[in-house]
Amino acid sequence: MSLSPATIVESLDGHSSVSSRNGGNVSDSGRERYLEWLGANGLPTRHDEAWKYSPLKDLLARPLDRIASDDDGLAVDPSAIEAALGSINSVESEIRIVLVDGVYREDLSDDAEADGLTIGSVGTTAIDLTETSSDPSSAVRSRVDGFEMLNRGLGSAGVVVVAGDGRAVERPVHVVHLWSGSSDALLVQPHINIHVGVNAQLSVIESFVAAGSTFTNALTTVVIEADGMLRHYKLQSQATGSVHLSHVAVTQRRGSSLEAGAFMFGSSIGRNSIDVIAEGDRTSTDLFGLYLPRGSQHIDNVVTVEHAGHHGSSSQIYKGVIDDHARGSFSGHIIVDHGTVGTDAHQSNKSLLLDPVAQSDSRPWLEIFADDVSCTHGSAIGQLDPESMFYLRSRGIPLDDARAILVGGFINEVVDKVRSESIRHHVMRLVKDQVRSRFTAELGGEL
Amino acid sequence: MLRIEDLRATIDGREILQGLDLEINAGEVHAIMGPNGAGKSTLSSVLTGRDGYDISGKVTFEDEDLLEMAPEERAAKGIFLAFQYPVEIPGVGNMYFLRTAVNAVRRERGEPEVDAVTFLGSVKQHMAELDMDPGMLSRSVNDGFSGGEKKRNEVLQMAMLQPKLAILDETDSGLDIDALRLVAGGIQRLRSPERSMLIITHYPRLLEYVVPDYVHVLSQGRIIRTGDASLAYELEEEGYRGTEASLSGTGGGASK
Repeated sequence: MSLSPATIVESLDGHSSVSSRNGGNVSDSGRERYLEWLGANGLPTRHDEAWKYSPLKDLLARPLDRIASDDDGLAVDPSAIEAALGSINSVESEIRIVLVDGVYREDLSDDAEADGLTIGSVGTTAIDLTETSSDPSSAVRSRVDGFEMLNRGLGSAGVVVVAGDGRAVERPVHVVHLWSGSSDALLVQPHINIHVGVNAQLSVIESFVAAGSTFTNALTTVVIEADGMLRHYKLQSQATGSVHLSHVAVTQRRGSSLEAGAFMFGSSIGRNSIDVIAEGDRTSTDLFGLYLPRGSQHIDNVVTVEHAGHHGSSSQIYKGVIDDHARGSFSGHIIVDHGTVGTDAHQSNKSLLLDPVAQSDSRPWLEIFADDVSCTHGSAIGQLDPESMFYLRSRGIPLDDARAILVGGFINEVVDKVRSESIRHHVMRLVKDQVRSRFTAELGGEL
Repeated sequence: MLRIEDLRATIDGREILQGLDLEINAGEVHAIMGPNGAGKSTLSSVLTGRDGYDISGKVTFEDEDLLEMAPEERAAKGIFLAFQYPVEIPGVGNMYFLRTAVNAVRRERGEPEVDAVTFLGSVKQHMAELDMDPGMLSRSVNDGFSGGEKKRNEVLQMAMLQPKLAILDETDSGLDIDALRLVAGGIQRLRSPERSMLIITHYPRLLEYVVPDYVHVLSQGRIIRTGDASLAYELEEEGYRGTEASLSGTGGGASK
């Protein structure tokens, strides 16, 4: 039987054969629990609202060579991935964490002890979150799906990043997800576990740069303790031909704030999802994203914010630029729990279609179970404004440059939301490369 | 420099320009006046290459066929349109836009790109002359600008691009007296023996500052009368209707 996400899950009926392959680092009882869930509930189907726009058939039947094991990632010689490492632009004064095939490589990563950070593999003696009540990995919530459980059950042991109480970590943590190239169609399942302590501050950038036809199924779990602050940015520029699913699950405690941005450039099929439970009162949640599918790319964004505390504020701002016969989608879910007061939640999705056959889907989904709330949502799908195009061209700016400038202007609103200046510069550089490669290359021949 | 022969332009089945003839030589300033719907803005659109018109007739600029050129080629050849309604472009910085435009035109002409320092010096000088706040450079193009600021921004672009033929489409409309004086001063400073101007306006006010060599009356898509600067005042007294009436039955447009 050929290997695919679907066949992996089918084989779980007698799951001992797969469940044991990766054990050791995470408590086996945890793995068992997740795999049992997966065996019983399976992978998402087209009846799952959160997977409505995703090409599930392709995802489930996607041929795989094998599932990456921890040994794979650890065995790779640094020289073998030197080129890939060198090609990653670093963020100013970053603390770099390198993962190879989803596995934390301490030997390739920076030491961060002096910065007030604890970083390590799950299960190492330095970090034993399982002993504390705030173990983020154990915080499996009601809204889970089969791909998250596939990651938890059969994924890498994972890396834990902890900013201790009161620590304002100034240097940004840059998690670089590399692919070893040991096998082309590898199922890579990294798990980043971020814990921001009481009144602590942390910035984390995750760069996904896998090549080949890798299937990335990434999970990032986050707990932000009272009055803590996290900035999290996902920069996905995997090779065309690869699959990228990444899910971020956040729990926010009282007075905490989250700024999370996702920039989806690469992969053939990409799905960026984030699910925030604002559990405490007076939380602030600022989510944004940019997706630029072209060719036959298919990029989905699935965003959920649940306000379970009082006086929480949240915003979702997502923009897509969709070219050729590509598809892009946004599903934005706002839940305001019964009995809460003072929620202020806003959502906006705008997309720009650059080709008559490009497709964009936008779905606001509001479930308000409280009275005292202020919620807005808006979505707009359009094309480049012909009058703006004419204005630029009448000033001597060639057609392709004019398109690039207008797309750049459209995109800037999202990039400008990155508050840290050095990270914004980093993101801006990536975005500019994308815009430049898309428009001048594509239209150059026509002029 | 610019020669227009029997120019006809149709949009949505309506013929707006109905056989227009006009010639503008280097250094000349021509004003075009006329009632609403006469085709003034259509003329500026057709000359600068806006989409959407069915066009016949002949337009040459320095002996080259203008109608065959893309808008950006026309700009590179030296044609500039000050828009009646300048477009707001959120997210695109004014400074970046100006510099991109100047360098695009220079590149097309085979001239080296202008360096940042020289460029900034030049922009700031022109802005001071137009009494523009330098802070407008870091704002998005025309985004949230007042009517007067937008028009001054048009004149600033014209000053930076140094066109051979400047077409000013109602650049004086919506300006208070002080702003009009500033904008008119900016236009007047750009007058030179090499540069021609085509000023589209409803009022003689602007023409007091920028005195034209010729004034044309455009009505129903063709030029029905041409005179010197005094025609503008005559029109102010008689109105377009009077001019149209006095010429009715003559069957001909007078043009230079």
